[in-house]
Amino acid sequence: MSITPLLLKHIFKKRATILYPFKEREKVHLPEGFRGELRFFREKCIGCGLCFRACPSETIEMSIDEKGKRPIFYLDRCTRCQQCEEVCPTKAIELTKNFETVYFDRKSTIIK
Amino acid sequence: MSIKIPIGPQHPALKEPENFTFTLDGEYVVKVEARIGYMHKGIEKLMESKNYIQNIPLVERICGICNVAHTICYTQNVEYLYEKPIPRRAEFIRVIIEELNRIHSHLLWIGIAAHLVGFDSFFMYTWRDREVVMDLVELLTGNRVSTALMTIGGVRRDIDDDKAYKLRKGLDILEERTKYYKKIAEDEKSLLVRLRDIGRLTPAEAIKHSAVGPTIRASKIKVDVRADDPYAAHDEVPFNVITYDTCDVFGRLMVRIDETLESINMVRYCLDHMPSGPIRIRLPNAPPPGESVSRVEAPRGEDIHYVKSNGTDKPYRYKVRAPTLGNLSALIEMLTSKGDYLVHVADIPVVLGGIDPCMCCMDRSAKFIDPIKGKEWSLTWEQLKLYAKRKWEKEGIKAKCR
Amino acid sequence: MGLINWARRQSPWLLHFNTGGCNACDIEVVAALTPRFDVERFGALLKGSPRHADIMVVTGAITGQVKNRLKRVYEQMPEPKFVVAVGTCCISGGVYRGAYNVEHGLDTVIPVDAYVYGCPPKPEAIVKAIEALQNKLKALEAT
Repeated sequence: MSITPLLLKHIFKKRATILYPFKEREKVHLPEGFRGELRFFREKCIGCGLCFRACPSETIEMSIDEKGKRPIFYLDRCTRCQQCEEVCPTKAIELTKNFETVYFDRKSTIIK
Repeated sequence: MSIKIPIGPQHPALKEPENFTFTLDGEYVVKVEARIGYMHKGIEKLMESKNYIQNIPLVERICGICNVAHTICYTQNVEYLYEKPIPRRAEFIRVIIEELNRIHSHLLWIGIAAHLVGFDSFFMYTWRDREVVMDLVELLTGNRVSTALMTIGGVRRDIDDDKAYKLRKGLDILEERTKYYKKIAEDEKSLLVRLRDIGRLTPAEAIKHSAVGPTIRASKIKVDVRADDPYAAHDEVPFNVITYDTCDVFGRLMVRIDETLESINMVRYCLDHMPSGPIRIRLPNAPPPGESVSRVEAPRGEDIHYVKSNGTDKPYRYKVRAPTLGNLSALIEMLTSKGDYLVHVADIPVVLGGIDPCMCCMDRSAKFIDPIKGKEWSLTWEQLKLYAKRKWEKEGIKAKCR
Repeated sequence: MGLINWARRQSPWLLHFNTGGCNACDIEVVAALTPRFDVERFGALLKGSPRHADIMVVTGAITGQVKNRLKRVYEQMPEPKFVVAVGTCCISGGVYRGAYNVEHGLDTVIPVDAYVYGCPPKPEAIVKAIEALQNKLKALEAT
């Protein structure tokens, strides 16, 4: 038996393509707990520095501003491993569901 | 007169940058020289400057396709240093993710092998069915490929009843389709003619060149770390070690299809017999000093890691031996014609793809070349240390050699 | 002239070059050609030779040995040509920052037009990058 019966049967079936960016945006598979782009809530941060010690790729650098010690995030180095969100004691870091991260320059992705 | 053909770093047949030079005699390949080293990044040295928690994503990115095997090997290694057992539920969840990773890797290879032979319909159908596994992994861990699920002391996310229900439905679809592909692989003439008697490796040669994984299991030798030296929950989950006796690329295809069916049954067993309890224990930052070795069955073969710690929170030395390095000298043996076994030029991509090369895991050797004098040589570890010491002392820096 | 630009924009032919990363972004680029995501609806084809290609898709962290070969392959492509960097390791070194054999980004070697973040990015993000590049060229042409 060969693959020809399967090929002929599929002429009359529905297409398997999801027409993503034009029509079927809601059919993209985005479950709960998806790891997308990072978001930082500055008012909740207490400056403990635990996220700096857990990050593997030099995304976080600690600096001092008018409220005390705060992290700076360079998002062009982030591997989205979620280790900073896990150790933060005040839940000031969150990984959103945004996966459409296409940019034309590197400067627009620094969060202070 | 002999002609040399280089298949260089950028080539449509190989997805990774490595260089092979083939010496031909007419249409047959007579000699092969491999020049590896394009993917060497310096991971082992970088691991000595980061602490144990920061090293987990780095170990995961030694290889993107078999990343679960490397992470399980690393976390197991460090947990042996602490000498504390992890919860049983965490070991079952590790086995589930490991077998899902094996299913996705084997379906990927079946598609690529069909593409190298020229059978693009089969490639498109297997990769469309592989999307079922990718959606299941994304549901359980949050990303399609690099699952950041392991940590030192257990796993980070749990499997609840809703996810277990979707997992079972996905596995039923996969089993039906894989059985259909097995029937096609045994009967379809375009695959049989291109894959039978290509890339022959007899059992004696396989043991002499220390091949690992499905490459040696297709030469009728029963070697599998999950049966010889069980780790995680493999001492309780039952399975069969698959071997075939055809010794060629067709045998390796059948071994991988059968292993996919075995993995589906193993995931079902783990879901039915999952114990309850915690999924993680808290361990201190710095393990006690000592050494440890651990090994794991990756989809491509046996993977060994070694760690040495001196009581601080950064490892003193870490060493990785990836499975494709064991298959490399068997590959060179498969590609040379001798006696009545002849290798045509047109069969080179199929044989190269037949061992499932993952060159990024294994690029760890270096050779010294002097282009002016035309000399090539290599140094041992002791000679390299003496050379470095003499060089820095000439510049006035007294180096403390470890 | 408008017809030639329209034809060039609506059929970008791709060349894929893996410069020594971990292979995860690599398989997501190949997965973008399979039936579920299908980048061929934009007119894109995967070609083997640099002389046939319009867009070079680069994945993986740049190692010291691949740098010169990458420049030579880039110079062999005919004008007009564009470069898309896929994955965090290609943009800035990623997890391998600080290793002795890894460069800190692709734009230290050749000029880059679009950056796709992620480790690895979903194939839908790669499809969106090709569409964003097409829209950017349309906007540039109108001025």
